Amino acid sequence: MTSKPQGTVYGAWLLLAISAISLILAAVATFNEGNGIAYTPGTYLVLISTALMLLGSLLLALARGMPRWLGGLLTFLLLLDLLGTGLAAYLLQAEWLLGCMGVGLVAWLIHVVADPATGKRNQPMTQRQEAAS
Amino acid sequence: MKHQDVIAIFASLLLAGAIGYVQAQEDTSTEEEGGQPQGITETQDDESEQDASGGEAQTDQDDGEDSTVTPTGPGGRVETGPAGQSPSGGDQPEPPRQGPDAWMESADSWATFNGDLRAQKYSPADQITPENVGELEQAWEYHTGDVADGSDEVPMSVWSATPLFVNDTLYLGTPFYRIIALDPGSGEEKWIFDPEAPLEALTQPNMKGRGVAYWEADEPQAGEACQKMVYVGTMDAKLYGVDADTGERCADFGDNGMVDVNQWNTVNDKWPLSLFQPPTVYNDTLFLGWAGKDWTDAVAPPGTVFALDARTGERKWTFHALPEEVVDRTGTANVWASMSLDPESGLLYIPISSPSPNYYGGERTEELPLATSVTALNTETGEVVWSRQLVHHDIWDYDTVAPPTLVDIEKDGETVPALVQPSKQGFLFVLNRETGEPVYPIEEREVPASDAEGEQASPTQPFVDVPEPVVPDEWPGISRIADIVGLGECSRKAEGLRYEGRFTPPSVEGTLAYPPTTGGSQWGGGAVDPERGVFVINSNSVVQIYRLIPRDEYQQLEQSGETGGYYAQGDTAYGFQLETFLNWAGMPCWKPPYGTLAAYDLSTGERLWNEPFGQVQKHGFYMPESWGSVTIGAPVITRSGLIFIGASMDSRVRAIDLESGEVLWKHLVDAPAVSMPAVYTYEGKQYVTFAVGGNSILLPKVSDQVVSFALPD
Repeated sequence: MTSKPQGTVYGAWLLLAISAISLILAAVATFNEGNGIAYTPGTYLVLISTALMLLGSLLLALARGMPRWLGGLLTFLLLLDLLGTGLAAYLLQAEWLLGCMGVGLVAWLIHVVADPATGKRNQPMTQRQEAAS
Repeated sequence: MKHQDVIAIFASLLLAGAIGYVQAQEDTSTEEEGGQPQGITETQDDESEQDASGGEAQTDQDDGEDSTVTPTGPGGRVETGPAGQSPSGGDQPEPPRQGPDAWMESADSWATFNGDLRAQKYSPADQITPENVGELEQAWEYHTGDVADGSDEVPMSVWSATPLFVNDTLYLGTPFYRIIALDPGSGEEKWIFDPEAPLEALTQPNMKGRGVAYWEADEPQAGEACQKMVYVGTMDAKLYGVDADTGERCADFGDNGMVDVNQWNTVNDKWPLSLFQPPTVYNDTLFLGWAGKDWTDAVAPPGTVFALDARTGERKWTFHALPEEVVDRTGTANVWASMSLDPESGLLYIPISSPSPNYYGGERTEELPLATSVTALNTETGEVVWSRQLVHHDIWDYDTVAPPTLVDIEKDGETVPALVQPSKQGFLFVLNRETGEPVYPIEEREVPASDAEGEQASPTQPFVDVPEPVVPDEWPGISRIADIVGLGECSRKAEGLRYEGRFTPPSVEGTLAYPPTTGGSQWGGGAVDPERGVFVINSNSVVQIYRLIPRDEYQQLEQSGETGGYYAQGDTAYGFQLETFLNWAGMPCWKPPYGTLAAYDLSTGERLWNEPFGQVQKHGFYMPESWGSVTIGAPVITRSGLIFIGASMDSRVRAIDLESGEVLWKHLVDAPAVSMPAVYTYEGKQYVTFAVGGNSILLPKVSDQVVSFALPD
């Protein structure tokens, strides 16, 4: 059984916001005719990858009680998603989406370095906090 | 590993054969034909040596018209129609009128397919300059509505029309063969003519159109109809002439505004003489070639060019490129690309394609000197003035593919009346346009022999070193990335193919063809700045595999339902397979760039620059700029030192600095702009207008967009 970690996960929330914006941008790229890339497999790919990114960052921000290994896996998959979507955006010449991926990477770094950890890794601290209280 | 390599590896994994779309040609069979023997320069004075019957005109009433047939040039014939002048006999032909039609020479207009009769694709407009081109913005946009993606009963459209600006109107011919007249400053519709042509793939697999032609009387009578006319041809060989101010049919032109060109399709008439390319107009005459159906038949309609009276559609003469005695074994050697014309001398320059069948010549082994040639005809009589064969016994489908560009060259202190003839094989032939003699040397070199039974490949072929060919002498070699992704597939495949340099004949084991039928250069040809003496041309670097299939094996394949990439070539000893050299993932097995744009100094023959042009786009992803793009279309040059060109896969139109080759401006359009733009000045403002149609050879992306660019007010 895990207990809920304390503190705000700023990196995860920033990543969530970026993911939401990216999904909107990907949708625009996919369905806005006349942009040179609309309705192509490339845009469908980034539409899916940004949707998955939104889902992943949502879990990261809100599901704070998940097991540590799951949090780590999710964080790793989000990194792959950011890099892959970034490369796809570069090749699609979707500059705004590429920019979002850049900011998303910063958010990911913040999450990894500064956000309170999730799951079991926080348990000792929680016990100490409990003891202190 | 370089940055671009990293991108390339990732991109390549996602790329499913960008260049492979060239293979769509297999289903698209470009409007091409074949060609043949010995490099020959002939003039009218030598005609007596050509044929024992030379000069003996014969009466021919087969088509119901009074006509005479006279041998001309090496192996050609000219048939004089009811409205024409016989090249020999009692009537002394009138000398060609000197000088161009006045309406055609306005500096502000873009009155013909190539901008002018000389196919220079040059505009004296100089409002848009390298300094301000970055400010260029869309002035207006129009959609014709004539577009098909092939998903319903109408075949996919391929639109390569040059818009014409003349008579204060912008004229368009659509791939559904409608004529649309627009206001050139706003794009507002003036009128539309609809011939209600059948939208069926009668010869080509796509609905194709290259636009319209315009004619105007020397002294138009005010208030009288059809003093100015616009013409459009159809796939089913109908030529329509309508009033340029109203779009109404011209009753005096043919049968109520329509001439059925197929009435002259009397030999091997397996399909109609499709009129995709608008006629060349000069001196009240329309000069008309046609396109057909390639690679299917061995015996096909033999190549002809018609001269028609611009007012009435009456036939003046018909030029035949093949001798009568071979037409039961071969055909085509037709003129499907545009032509050029020297209005001062009255000579018409025609790029003649290869004879059928295109990849096996075992049953047409005699010399056919006019096939795959550039030939000069007397516009009045249709006689051959000179001809130069560019490929002997063409078994590569190396049609002479583009109009020669006529330009006076300053060379060694002299002014040389020259022409520049691009070719699919990548050579730029620079000839004296009055005599056909080379300005820069053409050398006959030994080439590999054929190992196919019955084939007699020519022992030599013409080579040009200066100007430097648009593609290298040797094929680019295996792409490391494609070979890695293919786990060595590209290398293994290459080892099993025959390749002995240029002009390696098609073979049963498979021949690596470089450049193949896609070029080198394609039908758009080049543009020239006549003041600077600089010639600009886009070209492709594609590798294909030519494989001859023994007839019995071909029949087995047919029975098993295998059709993709295979062509019958009639009932000759071999069928044919055309395959673009790709790995399993559809990646090109050869090294980029896949397309370039180059500039040449014609006074020295030196190549000034040669840059990868455009970007490959596949699945929406753009490949690195250094890869370039296969292109279809042509450049246009302005006096201010700019090149305007669409042509690339990435659906962009560009302005390029003539001095350096640097891209100064680009703009996204709805599909690849596989046409040349029109550059014109209307009410003091310079416009650059593109017809954006797309071509399935590049990308399965079509459009009906017309888009015009100008500087902001």
